[in-house]
Amino acid sequence: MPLDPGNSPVPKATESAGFALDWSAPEHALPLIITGMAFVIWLCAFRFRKAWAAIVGINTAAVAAYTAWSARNGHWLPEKANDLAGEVDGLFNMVMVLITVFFILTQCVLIYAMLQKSPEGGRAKPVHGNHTLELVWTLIPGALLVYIAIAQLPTWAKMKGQNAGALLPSGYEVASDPADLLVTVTGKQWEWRMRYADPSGNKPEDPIQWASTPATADVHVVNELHAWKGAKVRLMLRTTDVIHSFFLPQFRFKQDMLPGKTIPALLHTDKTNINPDGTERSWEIACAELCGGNHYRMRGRVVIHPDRESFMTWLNERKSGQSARKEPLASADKPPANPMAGKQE
Amino acid sequence: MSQTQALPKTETGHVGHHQPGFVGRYIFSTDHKVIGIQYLFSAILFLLVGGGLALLVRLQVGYPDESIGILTRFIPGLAKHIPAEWGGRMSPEFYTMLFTMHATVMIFLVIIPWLTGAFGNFLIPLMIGAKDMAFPILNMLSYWFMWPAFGLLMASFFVDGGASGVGWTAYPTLSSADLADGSYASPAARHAGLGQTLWLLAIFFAGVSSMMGSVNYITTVLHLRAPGMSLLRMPLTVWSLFITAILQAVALPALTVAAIMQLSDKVFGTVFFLPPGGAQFGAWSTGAGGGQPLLWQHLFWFYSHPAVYIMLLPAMGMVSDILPVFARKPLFGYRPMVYSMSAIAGLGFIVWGHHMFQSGMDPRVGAAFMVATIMIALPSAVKTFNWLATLWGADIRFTASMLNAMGFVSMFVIGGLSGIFMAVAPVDVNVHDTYFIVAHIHYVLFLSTLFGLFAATQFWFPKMFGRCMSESLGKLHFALTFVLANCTFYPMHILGIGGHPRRYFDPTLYEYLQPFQPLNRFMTISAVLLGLAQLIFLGNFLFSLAFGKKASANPWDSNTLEWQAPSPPPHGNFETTPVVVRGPYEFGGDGPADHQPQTATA
Repeated sequence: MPLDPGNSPVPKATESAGFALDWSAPEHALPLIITGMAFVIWLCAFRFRKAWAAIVGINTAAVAAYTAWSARNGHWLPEKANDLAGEVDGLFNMVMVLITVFFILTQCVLIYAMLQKSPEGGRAKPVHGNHTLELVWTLIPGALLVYIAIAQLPTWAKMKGQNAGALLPSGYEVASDPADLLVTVTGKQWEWRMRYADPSGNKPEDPIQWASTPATADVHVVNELHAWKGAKVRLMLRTTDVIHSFFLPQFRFKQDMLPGKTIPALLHTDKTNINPDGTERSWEIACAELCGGNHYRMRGRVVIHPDRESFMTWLNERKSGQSARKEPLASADKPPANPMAGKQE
Repeated sequence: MSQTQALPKTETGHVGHHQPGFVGRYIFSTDHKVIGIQYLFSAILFLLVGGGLALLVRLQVGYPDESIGILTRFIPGLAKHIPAEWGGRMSPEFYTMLFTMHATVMIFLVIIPWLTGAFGNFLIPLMIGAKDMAFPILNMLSYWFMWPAFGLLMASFFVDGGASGVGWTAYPTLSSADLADGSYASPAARHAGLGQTLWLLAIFFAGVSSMMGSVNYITTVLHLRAPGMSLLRMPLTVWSLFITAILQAVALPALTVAAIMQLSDKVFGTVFFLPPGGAQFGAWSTGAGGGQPLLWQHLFWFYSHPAVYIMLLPAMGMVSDILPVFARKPLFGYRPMVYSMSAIAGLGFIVWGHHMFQSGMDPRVGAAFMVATIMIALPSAVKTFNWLATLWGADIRFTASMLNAMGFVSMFVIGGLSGIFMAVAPVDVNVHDTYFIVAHIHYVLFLSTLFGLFAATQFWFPKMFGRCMSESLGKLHFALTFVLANCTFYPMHILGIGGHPRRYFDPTLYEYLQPFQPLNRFMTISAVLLGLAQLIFLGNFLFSLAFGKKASANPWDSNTLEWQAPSPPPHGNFETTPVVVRGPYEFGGDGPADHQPQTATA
């Protein structure tokens, strides 16, 4: 078994005695209150049958209010690490506005239909359809959807490495590579292994060739991705075992790693996560494709240094530390053996 | 309306239909109604199993630090999955098995059999005025091929290594196994041993079962319609089941073939899905290879995306039939409804790639899939507007069935609209494989399809069993399910927007996910209450079988042909072959009656 024994699952440090729920916590009390409300509506509907409109109405209002509350209170898109993330979020917001209009509109029509008075004489008009209406509600959403489909193409092209302004993406070719920094990221159950080209050597000419031939002089790091602000980073994504997905929430970046393939990807770094006072804002790496029992433990860290100098200082430090150990291919720092060590209590 | 019109429960007078014995009548029956009811009972049983698995998943995500050791007292077989060294917590491997089996059971043994097996079998011959299906024995076989699938899945929990834990998508190489000659050592042997082999066999059986059903439905609809039942006089339920059967007949072979190929990879040592050598530390660089993990994804989603519509279209069709009955108003836009269902089915074949935007597929192909995917929102929107127009200006009867049908319309809007985010590929990059996807699929499959199924079960129960389900209990079940399902699944959208990956055993390991943990607990408590609320449905169903109010032939004053037969219809369905003279939605108007059955000549 090609499993690294150092990574085998480790139980958490503390033993739990049983299931203890704090019923005064809002997240525990709220479902009970909501259940009670549904029960009351059911009772009311025996007397007033149109009380059923209330359940759709309350639900619609609650969904809208809760979504707005989440957006205002940080339960929303993660911090943006680059300008591309801003562009992606712009598309997200555009879709959000459009669907909110359609959501509110359709729910209001449904609620109105539930509340309206019975038709005169107790019989509804036997309307079988309306050609004009069908045309209207086909063409208007159709036009909006075509607009969305076209509006997002340039962003997709840019995400996949094309220059600004291109409408369609290119394939996965990296012949004319504009990147400032090359990093090979290799997924492995259950860690990320990063490899940086030897800082004292030449810049690799063929990234694909370089990605598949590890050299001892390269700098090897586990679970940490370093770059500097403003660098165009070319990631060469590989895996040694199963499919992993390299997910950087702050960068709106996600790319699967396919066994047997090297997938090049561009990472834009327009911001640093090192604060002026030297502290670091946490940007994490996660795995987004099921890769086995410890899928949830493929946690890593991203550091975008404020400038190239501090990045090079870090890289050279790592290189000298590595040659002292004389085991370049082994993982320099394994993930914590005890998962609690990475956890903030 | 004539609630008490008693029809004699006659067992005689159906010349040419010989009455078989007990086994032939109730177990290996070839009567489409019995087979439909067998499917219905099985699906409800499997719903309990699948729901139980989901609750265990929720318990773990909501309370990763709490002990569930108490479960081993009730099910001692679980002890190996809740090992002592984990201090009463389940092992991460068991967690992966739980969500894999939850999805597999719900999709292949609950939703598809309940929609196409139960209602497809029961309703198609009755609604088109036929005596039975075109191929009754094939029909019986299709039901009995489902049981090996269920048996294999449940047995796999107890084999060495446990059940499959590779997700219902079963992506290689996680799902691959060691090759006997040692040329390929699986990186996932613990997850993909015998359990995964049994899973593949189960998919094979479920696939063969659905396949036999679908050819039967297509033939029946095309050849056995009563005189006068032209295609454009068919109720939308029949249309939806017909379109679904075509989807299944065309798409399902891809999954069955892929399952056989993966089985062959595991058992005979072929390498259809194992890549050539070259990985840096990899185990397969020593000889195995030549295949492609991406090939599996294409074959899998070529079926499994249309499968989403297979799991939705029949519910849309049944809701389209229920709404006019309780609105006492014709369905708005019959033809646009038929065309939009056909458009959904057609487009459904060319959008599978949107599951693979991040898979390493060429981005240019992704751009094409993205445009196709966005356009599929259009027919869904057209259907929604037509349902709303059907309710506009109507005299709504708030029955339990109607409430569930309106719940379907309300929730399908959320499930459909959230899909637009995923169709926009740059946005999908962020939400792909997060809880946003989990929210979306549950809004479509739980809050839409299942509400459609509850509505349909309540609606056709009198025809199936000659008794009505309790209206009050049905409404209570609707109120609780509607509210609690939203509490359980809506916050998942917010988790997904925040980047919370799905299938995480313990999200609290991540700093950026810790603020979401109270929300995870909220959803878990809601899910448990939601699960309990389903017991109301189960109790109502079982109680009404024996003690429900006796039903007349046409308790809802409906127009379609099944209501012209007695409740329950005898073997052979109709006394005389009905002759259809009009469409199915003649409600309202100023005539002598507020509805005109399809056979009414007046």
